Amino acid sequence: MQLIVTREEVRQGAEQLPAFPRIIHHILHTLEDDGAGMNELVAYLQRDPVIAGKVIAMANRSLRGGGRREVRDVYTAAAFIGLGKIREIALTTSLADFSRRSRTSPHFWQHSLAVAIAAQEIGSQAGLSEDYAFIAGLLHDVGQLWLAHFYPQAFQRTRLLVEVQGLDTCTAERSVFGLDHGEVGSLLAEYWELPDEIALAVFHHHAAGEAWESKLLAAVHVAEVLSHALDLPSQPDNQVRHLADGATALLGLDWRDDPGMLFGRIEARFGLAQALLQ
Amino acid sequence: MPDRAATAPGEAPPPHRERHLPCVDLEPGMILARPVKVCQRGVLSYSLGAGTVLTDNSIGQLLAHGAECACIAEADGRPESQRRAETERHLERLAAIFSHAEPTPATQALLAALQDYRRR
Repeated sequence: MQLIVTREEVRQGAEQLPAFPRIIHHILHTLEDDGAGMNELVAYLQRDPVIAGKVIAMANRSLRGGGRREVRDVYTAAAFIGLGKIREIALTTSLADFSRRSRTSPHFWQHSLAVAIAAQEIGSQAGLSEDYAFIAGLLHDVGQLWLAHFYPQAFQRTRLLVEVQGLDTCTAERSVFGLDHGEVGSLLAEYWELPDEIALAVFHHHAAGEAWESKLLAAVHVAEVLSHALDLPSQPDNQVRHLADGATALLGLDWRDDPGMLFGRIEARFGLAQALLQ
Repeated sequence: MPDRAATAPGEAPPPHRERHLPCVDLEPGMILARPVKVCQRGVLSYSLGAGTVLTDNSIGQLLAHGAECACIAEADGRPESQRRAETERHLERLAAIFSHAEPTPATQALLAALQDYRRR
């Protein structure tokens, strides 16, 4: 039986979800100004012991012998690992906490992390903002978080349709809810006042037959495919259904041109991030 | 001048395989299978060539310049039968992941690239 989830219901539900991490807005607003961004971000992180702890742990892991003292504060850690890495840790940790408070499975966060890393690697080759690509990757399936939170049993039905009947995810969701997680996610992105380009990437990342014009959207689409193709995280239902020719063309990707380094970097970075951040 | 891996004259190099590691997990003595080039704001800031034997100093330099990952060559001591069995397992898993894939040129090219990657 099909539920009908309306756009208005999605917006009302957004008000009942746990508060969206403010750190994500903060990072988006300071992306253009590295100087201000570093000082403000570090000061912000000082107030969050979980994120601060992970930043310090990453810095200590980066230390090489030679009798260097262990890093014990966020400011020193920031000098070691740099602003970009601190942003990644802050974004990933805050989203992991948000998805845990929203009662989603650990797999949701791990899959989002894999797509974020893949999107960032692809974006780096295509001249995209790496931070934007990372954030879009982290949030690409946030619509599933909403569906699973408010309709857990119906959401499980969609998973069964995918795993047992072989439907693709969006078709299964539309058959149960009347809309798919891309549309739900774009409504959430709008509610949380995220940039339009990120909302677009969230909405259409599964779309086939798109006229691909946004490199960020294309990067998230390809990143999602790569996360499944590389089995990150390893799940029995990882499937590649469709990789849009237009998306790979827009990004200048040629799979015949030895993409082994790209695959290896995504796998290595995911393994490290998973170990450090779980 | 970075050190280079040495092979005795007349001796064939042992079989090796490539492994991609985060730079925080590199150890002295590991040998780069591929070059590492670190760019900051579009400018090359540090590089090491393929074949470089890593030292504590060179690893520290990679980390200081923000290098994320490196591809190392490690001796492959597995028996041939084990190598074949593991490769076969990887390829079977890929086949399962792509079992419902639409046969677009990009999808087929990606599958071929992944099969090649899993054979290394």
